[in-house]
Amino acid sequence: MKSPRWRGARAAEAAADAVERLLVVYAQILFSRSAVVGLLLLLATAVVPRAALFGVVAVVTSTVLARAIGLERAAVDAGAYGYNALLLGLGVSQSFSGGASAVALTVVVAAASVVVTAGLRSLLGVANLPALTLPFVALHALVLGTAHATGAPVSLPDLDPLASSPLPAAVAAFVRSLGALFFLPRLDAGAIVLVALVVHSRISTVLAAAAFALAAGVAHAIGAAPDGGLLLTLGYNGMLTAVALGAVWYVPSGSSFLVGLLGAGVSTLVAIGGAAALAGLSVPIGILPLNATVLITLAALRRRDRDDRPKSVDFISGTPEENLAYSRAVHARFGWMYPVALRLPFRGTWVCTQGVDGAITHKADWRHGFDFEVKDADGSLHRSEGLTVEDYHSWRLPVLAAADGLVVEVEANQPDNPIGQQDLEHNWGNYVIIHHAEGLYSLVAHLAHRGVKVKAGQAVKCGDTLGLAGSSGRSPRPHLHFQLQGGPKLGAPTIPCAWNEVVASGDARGPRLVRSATPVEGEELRNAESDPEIGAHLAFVPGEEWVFRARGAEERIGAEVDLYGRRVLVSRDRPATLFYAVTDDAFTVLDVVGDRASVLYLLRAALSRVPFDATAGLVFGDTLPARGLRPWLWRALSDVVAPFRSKDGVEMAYRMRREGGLLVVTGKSDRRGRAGAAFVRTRAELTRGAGPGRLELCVNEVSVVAERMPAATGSDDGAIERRKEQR
Amino acid sequence: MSLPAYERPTIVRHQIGMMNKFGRLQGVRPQTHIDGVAVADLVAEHGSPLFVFSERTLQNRYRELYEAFARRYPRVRIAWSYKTNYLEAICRLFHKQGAWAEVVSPFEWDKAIKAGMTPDQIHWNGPYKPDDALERAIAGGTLLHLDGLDELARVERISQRIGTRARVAVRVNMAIEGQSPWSRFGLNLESGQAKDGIRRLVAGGRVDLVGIHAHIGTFIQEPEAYGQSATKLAALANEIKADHGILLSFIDLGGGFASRNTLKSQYLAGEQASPPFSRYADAICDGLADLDYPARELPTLVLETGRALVDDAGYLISTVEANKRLPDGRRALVIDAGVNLLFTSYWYKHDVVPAQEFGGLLEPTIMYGPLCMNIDVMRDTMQFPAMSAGDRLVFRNVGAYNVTQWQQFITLRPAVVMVGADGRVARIRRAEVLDDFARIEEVPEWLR
Repeated sequence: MKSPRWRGARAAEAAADAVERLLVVYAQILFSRSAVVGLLLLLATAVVPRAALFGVVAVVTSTVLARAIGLERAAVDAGAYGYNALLLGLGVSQSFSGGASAVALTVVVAAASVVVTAGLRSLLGVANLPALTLPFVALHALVLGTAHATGAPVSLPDLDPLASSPLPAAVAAFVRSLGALFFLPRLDAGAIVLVALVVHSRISTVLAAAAFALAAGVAHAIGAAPDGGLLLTLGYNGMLTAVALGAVWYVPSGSSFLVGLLGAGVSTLVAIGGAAALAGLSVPIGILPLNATVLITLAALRRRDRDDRPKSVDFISGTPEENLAYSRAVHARFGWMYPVALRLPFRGTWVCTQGVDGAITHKADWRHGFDFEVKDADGSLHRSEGLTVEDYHSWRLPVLAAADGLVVEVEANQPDNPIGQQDLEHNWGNYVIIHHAEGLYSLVAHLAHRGVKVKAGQAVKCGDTLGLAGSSGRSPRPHLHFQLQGGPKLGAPTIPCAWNEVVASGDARGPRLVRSATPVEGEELRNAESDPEIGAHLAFVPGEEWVFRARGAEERIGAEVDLYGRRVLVSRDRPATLFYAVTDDAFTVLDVVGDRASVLYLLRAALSRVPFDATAGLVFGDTLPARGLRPWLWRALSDVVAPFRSKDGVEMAYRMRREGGLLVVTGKSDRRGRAGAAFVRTRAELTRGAGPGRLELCVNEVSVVAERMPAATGSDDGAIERRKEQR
Repeated sequence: MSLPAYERPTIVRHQIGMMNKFGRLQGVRPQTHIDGVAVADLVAEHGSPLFVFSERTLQNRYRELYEAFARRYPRVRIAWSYKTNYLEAICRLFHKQGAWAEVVSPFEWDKAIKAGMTPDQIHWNGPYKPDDALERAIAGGTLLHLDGLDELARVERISQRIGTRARVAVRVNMAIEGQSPWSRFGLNLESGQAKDGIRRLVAGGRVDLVGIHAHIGTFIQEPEAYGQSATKLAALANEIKADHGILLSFIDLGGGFASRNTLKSQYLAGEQASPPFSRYADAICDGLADLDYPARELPTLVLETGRALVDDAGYLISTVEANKRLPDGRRALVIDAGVNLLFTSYWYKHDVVPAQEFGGLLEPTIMYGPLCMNIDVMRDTMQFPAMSAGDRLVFRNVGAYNVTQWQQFITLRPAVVMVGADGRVARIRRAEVLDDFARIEEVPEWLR
């Protein structure tokens, strides 16, 4: 028997949930998902109570209907089925007088918008394009057309932007044009929308302002001196186009701003040209130019060979600021040049003896070639006099596949040359060509006579032995030649190459792990190794629970595998989740979301990435997102310039060592803070099989420590009790 | 202006210049410095005799060994053989390079812990593992290389008592063509004893089998012997996988690689006769290629090479005390270091050179230590220049076994220093003094 109090709590929770869903629909108009932004927009519409009422009616109608039909629940909850209805409701409230009849009309068009949205999502979804506000554009035109046909009175709002305002005319027009997005071209409504836009995204705000200026400028320049209404239309079309292209569908950058602003210019021209054409039909052009420009641009840019500059948002998107930070982090932390990670084609440490644009043969089409040999402690490539191939340290060492692939061509019958002689008839000697991915082939050459271990057509895994290093072909002494090429033919032009997870050594800085390396002549390199002993310290078992004490409060952290099969650490006491991955080679924190006060943020900084390479003194770097480390005001200001900076992260250098039974990982940022010490310092202690112990994060001399508490025996029983209760 | 070195007059029987029973005739070059530090300065600071270790050579030899294998096999671990040289500075140097520890007694186990190893980074070999020490080792996760079934039974008992499953490897012995059999350690492979033992171990179900181990001998100059050993161990690992479904985490090929020393029975100098690490690596990794394991789960190749890593990093500086002429015409030198310090003199023709410039002809010379014992011969007859009392000698390639097997016999043991890679010199063991004995000796009351 449930208590009434309990039932009340459930009802309150459900109501809060429903309100949040409603607000998220409002936020959608600005491409946001934040309830706070939605609330601000709801308030903006509330400057005209009739508008607020119609808007809410439309959203509730669409949501109820979408749920009743059983449309995709996640999209409905995210507001994807509501914002067209919202715009229609706002439009009806401002275009028609009357009470009950107008509300009835709102309900009908809101319901229709759900069906049209679903249909367009299906149709456009085939091309992986968004429905945008096309349902609104179509239905709004129909409503106005019907009113015109039936002679119903249509009142259009006062669209004179220059009507009495204390602000300079241009600014007033900008603010009113923001309000016009919600059919409320008023200063008060526009000002609240502006606040919502700033809260949502500083990047979008900058784009919107620039786009408005551009739209006004273009209109003025081509002599289409706009009347008040047209300027507002040009304004909001330009602004939304710029935001959509410059910040939402592409990762913010200089190039995305260029595309966004070009798009704004185009949509201005479309609006100017289209408005006149549609005037004959007595239908306002409204937001059609935005839809046309954005959809055509998105579809057109898909035909590019490389998705870069601007880079499309091909991941689960957040705010433009978050997308930028995420995209940067992925690039800085993983840095794959191609869709596959490449490992060096040998075991142990070799030295690069000819790199890109090398002095001997790595020129012209073959400039991205690499020669590798083996050097001893004295720096010599051979024993004794080096007069025979056997004297050379690299002679008959295994040569490996750089990545998974399919062997496409093999030559195995060329003889090895005596030292100092070359076979210019068969330049490449014995070689293996492997197909790794579309347009990505690798070649290893000069292999030893009868030293090729694979056949054409054979599938190989990364690290499989392809053959033994030799001195066949154009090779005066034993060495290994490696290159990436775009095609399968012998002698095809080379393409740039970078190897992942490389340990560079041989200089005074000591060994360091490089996530993406293009070797230069004289550099000594090897693949990162994998020591299962290190991995055992970072093997968190789902179901484990740890208790930390930090900032005077206890926080329980549980290790889980979520519904999507992702490994996560979840805070039981704060709304925060950390996503991580464990491979054979490394532990990597992918992301952490939620309450910044959670211990998980300490864990993210201190254990950002831990390779399982036990080499003493090995330094491994990673990039921490800098945004979260800044005070909020500074963060908001830096967002404005972030798209134009080449990188925006805190470069960290980590080391690990065994201390008795502990694995200690310490990190320091390259950047210095106050007092000349590292701006960010971290330290984590891990016990084999028992998870993290003490965690410490020190940012600009402000230190936060999380101490692991011994697991209280009582708490487990408590957890079991709670679970029983839930059943 | 420096005077030319004094040449002592010598009378030498005329000989044709060709190879003779004294070995090469290329002559002797002095070694005045060790890694850039003058021998004279070392002796002035730390006395004579004096053991000297070169950090740079230790690092280079370690890298050379490790890389020779790492370039041919994906997972390699070197376990530093404590008995070869357990001076803490030496052990720590190797551990810093990434080596684990290989110990054969509770004393060495404790020393490894003191040198910074965790118990789970120790391979414990050998026929002697007393119960109390075993208990600590099992609790800490030490890798126990079982010598026989009695030991297995004891390990099982202790494992069960303390509630921790021991991580064990089975040591096997095998016949290798051309090598004398080492059958006293481990279980025999050819007779089926090893497989029976493993079946018994798995059936017992109280310990985890994580590795297999063979050590085929010592100072083996034939890499192919290791090739055979690796092939047989790979076959055994494949059988364990097939019979019991166990994927081993390591295969230990033991040690025994020859250093650059020259055995007394050997004609060619060790420098030429001892193969480079890469040839051992070729043979072993070729043998392991037979492993039928998934590529990502190949067992770690463990090496316990002691001698070849440390031998040529060690030097013994000694001082000539006296010259003598033996009745057969040979010159004899009496020097201040004896076989109590340089145990390896019993089996090597040590490479010894003067520590200062010299002139004159070489003549057959024998070197005696300071002990009043007939066995105290430091170097059998060799061609050597004339020396005067007070001149210094440098014995090279003496890093292995000497500073562990040396005896406090007749004299006290001298200091040991290390020349750092950056040229700094640090003492890593001070010379013994009489008080050291006063501290551990006791005299019964009735004798006072």
